[in-house]
Amino acid sequence: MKINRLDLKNFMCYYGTTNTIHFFEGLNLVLGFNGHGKTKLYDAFQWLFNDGITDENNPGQLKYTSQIKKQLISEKALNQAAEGEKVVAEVLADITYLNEDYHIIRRYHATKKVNSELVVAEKSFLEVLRKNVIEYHPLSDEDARIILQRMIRPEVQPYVWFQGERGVSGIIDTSSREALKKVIEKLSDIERWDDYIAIVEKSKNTAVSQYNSEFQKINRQNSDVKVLIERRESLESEIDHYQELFNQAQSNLDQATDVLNGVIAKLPTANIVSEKKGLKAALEQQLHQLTIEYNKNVQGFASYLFTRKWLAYEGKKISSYFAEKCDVYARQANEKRHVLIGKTVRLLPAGVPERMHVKGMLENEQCFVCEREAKKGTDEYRSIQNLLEHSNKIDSITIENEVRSAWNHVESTVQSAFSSKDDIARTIEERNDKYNNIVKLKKQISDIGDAIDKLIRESGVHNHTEITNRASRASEDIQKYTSTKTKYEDVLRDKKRDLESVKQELKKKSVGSVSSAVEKKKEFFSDLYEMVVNLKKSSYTELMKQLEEKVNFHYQNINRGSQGIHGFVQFVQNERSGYMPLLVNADGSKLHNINTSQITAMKLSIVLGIMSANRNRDYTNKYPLISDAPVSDFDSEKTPSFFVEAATTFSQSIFFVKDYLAVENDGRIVVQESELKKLRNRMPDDVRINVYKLQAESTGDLLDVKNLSVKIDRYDQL
Amino acid sequence: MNKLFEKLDTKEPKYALKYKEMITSVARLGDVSITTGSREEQYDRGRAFAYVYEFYMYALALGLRKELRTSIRSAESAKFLRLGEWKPKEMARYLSTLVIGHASFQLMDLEGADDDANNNYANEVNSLIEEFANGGLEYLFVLWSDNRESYADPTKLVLELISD
Repeated sequence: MKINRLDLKNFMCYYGTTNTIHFFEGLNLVLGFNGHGKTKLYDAFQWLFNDGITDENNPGQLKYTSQIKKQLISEKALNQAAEGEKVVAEVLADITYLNEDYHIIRRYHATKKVNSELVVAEKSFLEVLRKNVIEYHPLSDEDARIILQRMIRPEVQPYVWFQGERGVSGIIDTSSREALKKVIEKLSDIERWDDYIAIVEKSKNTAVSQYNSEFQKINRQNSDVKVLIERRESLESEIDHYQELFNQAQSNLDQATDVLNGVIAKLPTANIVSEKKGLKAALEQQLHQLTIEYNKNVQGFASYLFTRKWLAYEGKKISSYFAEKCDVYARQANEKRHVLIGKTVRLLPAGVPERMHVKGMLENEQCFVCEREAKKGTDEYRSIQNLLEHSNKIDSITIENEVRSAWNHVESTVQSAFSSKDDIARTIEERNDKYNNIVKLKKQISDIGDAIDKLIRESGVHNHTEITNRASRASEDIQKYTSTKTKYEDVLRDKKRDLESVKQELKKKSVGSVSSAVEKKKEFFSDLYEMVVNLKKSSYTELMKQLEEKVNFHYQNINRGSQGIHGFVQFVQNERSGYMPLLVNADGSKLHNINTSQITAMKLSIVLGIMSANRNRDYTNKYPLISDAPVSDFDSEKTPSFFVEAATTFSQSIFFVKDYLAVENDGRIVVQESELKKLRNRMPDDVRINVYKLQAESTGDLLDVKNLSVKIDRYDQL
Repeated sequence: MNKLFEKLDTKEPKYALKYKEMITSVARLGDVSITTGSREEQYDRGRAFAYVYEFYMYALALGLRKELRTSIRSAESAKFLRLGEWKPKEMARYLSTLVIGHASFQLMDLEGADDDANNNYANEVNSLIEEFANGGLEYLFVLWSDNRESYADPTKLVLELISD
C-alpha cells in the first residue's frame, strides 16, 4: 500500500475544503509545533481506517466516532454554519494497492439547528472507490470492508502506525517475557508450526486410540486387564489435568518472578524518587513559610508606620511648633510663680501655705503658722483671706505636669522614630532577600519536580512505598505459586509412577499382542509429534536469533553518531521459552543507567526489526510506517539517524514531528533549512524527502478554537 | 491639657468626599465594630491599611511633615470614627499633640479653662487636624489619579512619607 494524498475537509482543526497533503515513496516529514495539528493529521489516518482517533488517556487505544461525534468537525466550520446548514467532516486518502488506485473516504456530519443547537449523526460513513481506467467506482460495503482489511492487516497495523514513544511502549512491553513471544507469534510464520503440530497430534491420537482399541479387543475376556486399562486411562487423564495445573502454576510463578525482578531493579530509583519527594516537600514548606513572611512584609508594610513608629519620622522638625508652645507656657508659668512666691514670702515666711490649709485657718479662725487667733472680722482674719486670694493665683498653674507629660510623649515618640529611615531601608532589604530566596526556592522545587517527573516517566516508579508494596505482593505470589507448583509436581510424580506400574501390570496380564502394523503406526506418530514440537522450538529459537540480529542492525544505525555508550540489544531466554529484550555491554553484562532515549531507540529498533526480519511477508514494502512524534525523546543526532533508518527500511514512511522548526523574532514559524540539508546529506541519494509545515492560524485568539484553522505549507522538495 | 485631650477624643475629623474612592482603595471602610479577623488578616485582605483611621493618620502625618493644609467644606465631607477610637492611641495622641502646636491658643490659656472653653479649643484642633490630613490626602490624590495601581503599593506610600 502506498499513500499518495490526503484531503481533509473540516476535519477537526483542519477548517475548509482545501487541506491537501501529497505523500511520496521515501521519507515524508510533516513539521508542526505542539498544538498545530500534527496529531490531528495522524488521527485522520486512524479515523479513516479504524473509525477512531487517539485516546490521549489510554496510550495505544482509540476513541471511536460514537464517543467523540461533533469533535470530529471543525469548530470554526460549525461556528460559521448558518441555521439549517449541514457541516460535513471528511477525510479522503488516495491510495495505490496492488497496482490499483483507490479512494477511501470517511465522512461525518452535523446539522446546525435553531439557537445553534447541533443535530449530530450517529455514525460515520465509509466509502471505498476503485479506479477503473479513468473513473473511480464505489465498491459494495462488503468489498470495501475486505479491501481495507487486506490493505493493512489489523494485527500488523499497531506495529506500523503508532503514536510516539507511548505508542511504541504499548506494543513492545520490555518488562514482560511474554511480550516478544506474542509479537513473534503474531507477525512471523511460526504459527504455521502450530498447524503442523495439530495435524500430527490428531494422527498420533488416532493411532494411539486404534492401538488401545485392538489391545482391549484381544483382552476383552480378561477382567483384570479391563480394570487396568480403565485405571490407565483415568491416570492419563489425571496427569493431563495436573500437568495443566502445574503449567499454570509455573506460568504464574514466572510472572511473579518477572514482577519481583522488575521491582527490585527499580528499588534504587524508588529510593531516589522518595528522597527527592521528601526534599521537595521540605522545600515547599519552606517556600510556603517564606511566602507568608514576604506577603506579610509587602502587604503589611504600612502597618510598620504604627508598630515601628515610622509615622513619626523626622518628628523633631514637625514637633517644633508644639515645643515652642511648651516653651512659652513654661516661661509664663515661671513668671507667674515668681510673682506669687515673692508675695507669699512677704506674707508667710515659712513659704506659701497650701490652699486647703488657708481654708482650714479661716474655718478655725486661727493662723497655723504663728498659732495666733484670727477671729472673723479682725485684721488677722482678713490677712488670711488675702492669702487665699494669692493661693488661688498659684492654683492657676495646674496643667504644668500634663504639658510636661504631653511633651515627654512627643519627645519619646520622636526619639523612637529616630532611625526610621535606616529601619525602612533594612526592612526593604530583608524583603528583597526573601524575594530572592523565594525565586531560588521555586527554581529548586521546579528542578526537583522535573527530575522526579523524569525518573517516574523513565521507570514508572512513583514512590518507595509503592515499590515495597509491589515487591511484597510479588514475594507473596512467588511463595504461593512455588508451593502450588511443588504440590502439583508431587502429585504428578505419584500419578506418573502409578501409571508406569499400571502399564507394567498390563504388560504382564495381557495375552496375545497387537498387530505390529498398528503398534508401529502408534510409535511413528508419537515420534513424529515429538519431532514437530521440537522443530517448532528450534525454529522459534532461530527466528529469535535472526530478529536479534536485525534489531541490533537498526539499533546500531539509530545510535550512530550519538555520544555515550548505548550497548547492544540481547534477547534473553527464560526457562519457559519467553524472551526479554535487554541492553547489554559488549561482554554481555547488563547495561546500567539506561535513559529514556536508549529505551525508545531499542523499542523502535525492535519494531523495525520485526517488520524487516520477515522477508517472506515483505511488510516493509507492503505498508507505510506512520508515526506521530516518534523521536520526541531523541537528541539532534539520533533524530536524523532514526529518519535515515526508517526511510531505508520502509519504502514509504510518514512522520509528524516538531523538529526542524524555529520561531523568528516576529513570531513566524520557519523551517530550519540547514538542519534539513544535513538530513539530506545523510540520506541515501535514492531516498526522497518530502517536507510539509503545519501552522495553526486564528483570526483572533489562538486559543479560540471557534476561529481555528491550520495552514499546510509545502516545503521545497529535498 | 488633659481636658482638652478628653474633648478632642470626642471629635470626628472629616475627609473630603472626593477622596472616598481613593481611601477605600487602600483602606477598609466600615464600622470597626463589625470587623472580623486579626489585624494581620485585615492586611492580608489586600489593603495597605487595615482601617480608614490608619490611612487618615498617615495622611495627617504626611500633611504635617510636608506642611500641607487643605480646608474642607462640611457639606462635601464625611466622618468615619471618633478620634478617641483611633489606634494605636499613643500615635493618635502624638499626632494631635503636634497639631496643638499649630493652634492659635497658648497652652497657658488652658489653665483654668472651663468645659466650654476646652471644647472650643478642641474644635480648633480638630479643624487643624482636618486641614493637615486633607492636605496630605490631596497630595496623595494627585499621585493616585496619575497611577492607581502603583499608588496602592504600601511600600511606595511609606517611602512617600519619608521622601523630601
